[in-house]
Amino acid sequence: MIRSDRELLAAHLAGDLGAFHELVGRFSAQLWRIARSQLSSPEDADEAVQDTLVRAHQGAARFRGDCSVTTWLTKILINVCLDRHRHDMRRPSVPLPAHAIDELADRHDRTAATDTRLDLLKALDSLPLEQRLPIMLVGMHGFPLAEVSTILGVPVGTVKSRCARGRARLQDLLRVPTTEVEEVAR
Amino acid sequence: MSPVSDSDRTQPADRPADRPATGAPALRPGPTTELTTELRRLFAGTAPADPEPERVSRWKATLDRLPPPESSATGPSAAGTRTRTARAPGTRPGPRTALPRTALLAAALVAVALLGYPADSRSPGSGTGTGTGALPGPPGAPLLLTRAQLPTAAVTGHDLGALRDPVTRASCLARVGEHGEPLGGRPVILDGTPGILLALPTGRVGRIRLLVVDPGCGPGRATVLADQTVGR
Repeated sequence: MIRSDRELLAAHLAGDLGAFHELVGRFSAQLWRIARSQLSSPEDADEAVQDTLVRAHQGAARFRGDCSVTTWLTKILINVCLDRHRHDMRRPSVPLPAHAIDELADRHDRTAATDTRLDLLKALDSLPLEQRLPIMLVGMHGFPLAEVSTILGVPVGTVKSRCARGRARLQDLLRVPTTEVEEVAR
Repeated sequence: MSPVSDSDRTQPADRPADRPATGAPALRPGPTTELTTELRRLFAGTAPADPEPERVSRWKATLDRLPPPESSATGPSAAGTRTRTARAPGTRPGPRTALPRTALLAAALVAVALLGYPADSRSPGSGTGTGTGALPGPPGAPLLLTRAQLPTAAVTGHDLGALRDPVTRASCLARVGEHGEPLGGRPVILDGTPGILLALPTGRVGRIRLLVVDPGCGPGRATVLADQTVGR
């Protein structure tokens, strides 16, 4: 029988040793992708996901059930990432490092589409965290606005306005006329 | 994403249906209602790759080494009801993740606290007022003591004997109404009966619960041989 996320969490608390592993199997890829998009090094992302899983494993009893398990886990991860940002004063805005951009570009054909994506990531890194976070969660990781609101602890309207301001800023930074970009896409 | 996931996410960016045929984004001004779709189109194909299987296995191995989770008394509710002690989702889950450092510090405090009591307040029934009165025995052997001597037993070590296994220990403690980790412990012979002495935090500085349980304490049974709270 396939169990729901909440059933797995309850089973974990009841002593089912495999239940949390099943949750890890369901959500580790998503947590990893979010961590990689938030933290510049794979090592940091690895530690952040592991820390998140440990906190969730030990603190499962504190899950209140007023949001989905994936939202709860993501909120823990975002808090872990924010803790790391706060402790890393050298990179307060957590930019994607230049060498990472170069390495990424070198591994791929430098097609116009790739260049545009790299430009987009560079531009995204220059946004303030309060705009970058909701934009990444919505645009890159597919969260609905309401879930982002829960994860970040701000009203949905705030998420919308931050996303809208961030999008406008991206548009300004990229300075690519819409028609030109669409031609590249074809 | 699992088909039975509780998430109400309907358009994850990693779903192929959400991806355009080509990856180049286009920025379009638009009303707020189109924001989500617009951002997903913009960032299509930018999500990082999935973790390697070895990495996931390593995470799971780390989880296998953890003690059992905290009590399920305030556990997840399918109905979504809140419990009095629940915290906001995502908040730091208490001191258990930092257990080793906390436990070491606390164990040291236990020893200092217990050894620092006036003799007559430590052991009202001992009559000597000069020391613990307990027979230490050879190294590694159980501490021989009586119930009257129990408050004088300085728990300076962390030898939990038969309760060394975290799962067994958690089950035992849950059965006696404790959900935290012991600050210290050691095997004892209490009035001739083997047991495990556990020093447990009470939530008050300088006040310790000394609990002696039978060595077979675990999921199936928990016999309390002695239970005293000492300190200020």
